[in-house]
Amino acid sequence: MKTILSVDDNVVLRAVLTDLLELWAEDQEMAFEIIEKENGREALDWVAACGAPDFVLLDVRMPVMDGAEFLRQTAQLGMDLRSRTLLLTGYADDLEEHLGSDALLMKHLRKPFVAEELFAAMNGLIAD
Amino acid sequence: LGELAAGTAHELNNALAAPMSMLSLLQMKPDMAVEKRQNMVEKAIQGMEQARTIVEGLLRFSRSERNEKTKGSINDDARFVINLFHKECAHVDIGLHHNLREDIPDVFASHQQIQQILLNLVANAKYVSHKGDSITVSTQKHCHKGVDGVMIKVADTGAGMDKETQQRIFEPFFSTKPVGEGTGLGLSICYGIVHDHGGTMMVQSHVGEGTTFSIWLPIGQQEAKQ
Repeated sequence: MKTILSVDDNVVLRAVLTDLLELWAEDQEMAFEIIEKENGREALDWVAACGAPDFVLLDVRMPVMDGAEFLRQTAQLGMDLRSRTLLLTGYADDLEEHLGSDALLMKHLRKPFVAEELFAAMNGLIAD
Repeated sequence: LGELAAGTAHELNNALAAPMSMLSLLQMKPDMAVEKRQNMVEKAIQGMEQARTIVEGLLRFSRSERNEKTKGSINDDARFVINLFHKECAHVDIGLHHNLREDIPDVFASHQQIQQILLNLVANAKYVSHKGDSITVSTQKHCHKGVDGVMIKVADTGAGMDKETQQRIFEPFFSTKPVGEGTGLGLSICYGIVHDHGGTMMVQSHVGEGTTFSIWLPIGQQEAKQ
């Protein structure tokens, strides 16, 4: 079973992402376990305990620990999660400022998004 | 204004992600079970409620510039707020104390706005405090750069803030609270109100020791009516 780590501080959106991911997973005919975390710190604790997930949906701006810091700290643990991460951001145009120049090379989805955009982004993520 | 616009855009984009994705999914899969559809509509509404809260915060922000100033007692404002929080704090074993000097002069101010500031500060102090912590509201006469005025302090022995947080604490939409629990506008509105009254607002904090917000307001004078 593949694991998707979904990290967002917005409790409503976290639940929505889980609903969407479950529907997307049904279409893939693959079994996915979705792990929800509220911020980078909680996600980092989970990764440290359970290892690298197969895919990560990662909000950029979160209290306690943001997405950029989560990626930095997982890299320090020897896990480069960038190629398996879909960044979710509400920022209009300053993704680079928050995550550095690498950010624009990563897969990202700007909020708000329609379901099809998320599904397409997830398809892109598993294709790589 | 740029920061406010960028912050508003970010928060609204976040809030609208739930309704937009849920409603597009309903359009995409019209044959979904009724129970699932209801659940999705409910989440879409919750997202829109978050958006409404953001807009309400903005309206409060704009209204904060249009309040009439009258001569009145800052201690009365403080007592009003302390009374509101007294039971709530006692219930969670947080001490709410006051040290209000009776020799302070009355101040020309929008006392509704001063109460709004104190409400925000005490609510924030309570949020970062735990069982056994205390919050103290104090007032005293204070002369700043030769101008007579009143110093109001709201001090807590709660979690405290690091330097980086302190530097950003008055920025619009900066919040340490999870989304849905705070708009990140409260302290920037407070800062704007104090500035509008010709006063100053500062924060001192140490992680693990607590935080003190200090507001100085000049006595002010009645504005000539046009």
